[in-house]
Amino acid sequence: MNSKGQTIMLSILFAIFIFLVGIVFINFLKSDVLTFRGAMSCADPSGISDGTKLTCLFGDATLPYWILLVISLSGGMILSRLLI
Amino acid sequence: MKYSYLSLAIALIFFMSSAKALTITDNFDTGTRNVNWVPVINSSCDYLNLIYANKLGWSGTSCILNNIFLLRNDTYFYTNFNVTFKSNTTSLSGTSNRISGWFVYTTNASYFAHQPYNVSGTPNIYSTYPYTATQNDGGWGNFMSNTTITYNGSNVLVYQNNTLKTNILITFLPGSRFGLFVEGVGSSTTEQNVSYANFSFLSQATFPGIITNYTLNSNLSAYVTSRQNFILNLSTDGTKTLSSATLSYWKNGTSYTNRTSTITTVSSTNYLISNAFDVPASNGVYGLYFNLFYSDGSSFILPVGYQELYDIYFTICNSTVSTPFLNITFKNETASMENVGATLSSTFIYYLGNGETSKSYSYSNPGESPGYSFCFTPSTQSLNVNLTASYSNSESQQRDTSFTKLYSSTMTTEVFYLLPTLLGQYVVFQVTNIADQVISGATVEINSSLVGNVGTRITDSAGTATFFLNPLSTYYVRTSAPGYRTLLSTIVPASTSYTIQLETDSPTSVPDCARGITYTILPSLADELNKNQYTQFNFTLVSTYWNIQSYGFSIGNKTATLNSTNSSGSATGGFLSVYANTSTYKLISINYFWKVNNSDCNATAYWIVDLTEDADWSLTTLFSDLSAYLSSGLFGLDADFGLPLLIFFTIFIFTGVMSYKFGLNSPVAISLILLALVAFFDVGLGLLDNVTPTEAIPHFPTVLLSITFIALLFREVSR
Repeated sequence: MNSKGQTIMLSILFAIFIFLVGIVFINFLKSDVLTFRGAMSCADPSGISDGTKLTCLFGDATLPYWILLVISLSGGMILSRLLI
Repeated sequence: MKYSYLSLAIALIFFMSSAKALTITDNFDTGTRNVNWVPVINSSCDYLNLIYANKLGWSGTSCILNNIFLLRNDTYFYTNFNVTFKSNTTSLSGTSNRISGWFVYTTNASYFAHQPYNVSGTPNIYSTYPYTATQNDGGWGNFMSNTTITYNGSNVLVYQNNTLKTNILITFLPGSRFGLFVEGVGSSTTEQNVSYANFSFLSQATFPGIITNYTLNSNLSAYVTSRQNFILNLSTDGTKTLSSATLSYWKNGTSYTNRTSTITTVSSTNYLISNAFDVPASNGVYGLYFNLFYSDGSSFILPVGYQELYDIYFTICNSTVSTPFLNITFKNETASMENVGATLSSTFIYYLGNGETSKSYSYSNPGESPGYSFCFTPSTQSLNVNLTASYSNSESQQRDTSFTKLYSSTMTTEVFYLLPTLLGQYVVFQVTNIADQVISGATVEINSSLVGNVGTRITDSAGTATFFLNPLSTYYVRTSAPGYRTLLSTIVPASTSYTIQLETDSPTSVPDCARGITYTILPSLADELNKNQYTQFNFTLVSTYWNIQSYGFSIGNKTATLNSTNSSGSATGGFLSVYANTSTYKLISINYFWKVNNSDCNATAYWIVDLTEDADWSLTTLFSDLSAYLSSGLFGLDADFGLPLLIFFTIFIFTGVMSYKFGLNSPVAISLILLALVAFFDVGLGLLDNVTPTEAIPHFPTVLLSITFIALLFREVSR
């Protein structure tokens, strides 16, 4: 295997590592998001201010963004080595 | 206090031997007995103690009769309670110190005798004990103990069959009795309080066999003939598998019903056992126990509680029962419909449930009366009444009617029509088949728009049925017979005889299943079910045309049936219910059916199970929150104007940027981007519901953009 091949393999390994670690962290984030939503009373739209609502929306978006980030990072690492 | 009239009149004490120990051999007996001993009544406390102030039993204080304590040991069978006689002069440490005898009381001049400590059959004795004891076990059920039971710090002795029981479990069958005694306590003020409620059960261990716990969900009281549900949540240690169960409904040692239960296996250690049936027509307190059958062939009787049934009364109105449910009046079947009086001979079969059990009431009045009011108590209930009545007066022929209807305290007036003899004529209907052979046993039902049901007759051996009809009126004749197609015809009976020809019902003929059929399914099919929930599924079927041979439904997922039930008890339908666990199935289906005219009619519907209840962290939550916040107001954005405007600018800017950045000039490409964005906001996020101009077309913006896109695409291709 030449140096480019080794680089690709290494990138794939790194990508998989980042993906796995990222997925593992989802479980930790899940409980934090639930705690956050409970503390902010996000499920009670009539009882919270507009600012709190916006904060809730950002909190809600945490995990989707995290998943997007993990997939982008790991996928980007692989694709960048394969395509470039 | 209706039972206070059941005053107890005489107490007799029969000392059987000088040793004062009683050998009991009889089983529990509620029959009449001869009293062969004159009671010694030396104080008013006989009456004081023996008149029970409430239906749960004797609530009087203890009483001393010749140094004998009367000790109540039963709070359950209020008509059958026992009394234990004990000496207060000796220590209570063994059977020889206990004196037992006959106790006799009277209710409305009927004498009954009961024997203390009598037990039906041999008690089942187990080496281990349950038990979370409740006072409502009412004199039968599992009793403990392999642990010392105490009452106010003193040991409690448990006797059965005159034997001191220790370190055992006693399982009491219906009708059995046992005695409780506080060791070393001699004062009457203490002993009078000895009852189930006063005992503290020190610990809870395992049930006999494999049962670890159970709870029964049922009504403690109900009205006779009403439909009742019983759900037993049974926990086991998992060493045996429950294969079947039956629920017995007992009173005074007599089984009134023994129904096969529906078992829902929640897990290998948890079962839901359910029954639903119409309770008996006789009031009183009924015991409940389940017969549990395990897959290894063993079985166990589990007493679970009791249910008290209150009576219902349907009668001609009087000062006691005064809420009118049904008023019957009479009119002439003429153009002027004059009010008339009539005699009445009637029988009412009435019930609260599905009609499996019922009470009856007959009323007749040979004199002519303009009306009859019938009342019902309890007035809070709705009552099914199957009425069969004959009525006539001096001017008219007798008419008969029969129907079943639901009545309530909102009084219903039924008008019965009489046809004066001078205005009517007898009309004979002969029913034949296509080969002109007479059909006996056919049902001929005559109705008219004025009278309703004029009469229903069964054809005799000559195939005829005769009615007294008005030759000027229009009548609807419904003729049916087993094996023949039902025929509906309309006549104005100018003639005195008609022949009705029925065609043979070919096996391939399929009845109109939906005719006269209405049904309700609960939960509503429009609802989503929650996952991992024991949900009650109901199916109520009402038929006003067909006689229902059977009906039922099953609950399942995609591959298997979870639970099912069916009934053939009522020709007009009824109510069925089962429980099933939605678990984590995506879909729960209901397959419901009914059988009419020997043909099966069925249909299937589905519920979607909401599996996202534990998804407060997901993308769905983000958008549902966004939708909720916008609905409740967020930075002044409202769903009618502000939000659509914001979405419009978002779509406009995004499309413009895409067009500019990637050089998209084709109308098709631009409309595709627009369609995708509108569909995302409209269908995906549901944020454009308020801008849909008509509710008839859901997601109208998306539909409009789709049509536009397709039109542009066709134009592009056709160029």
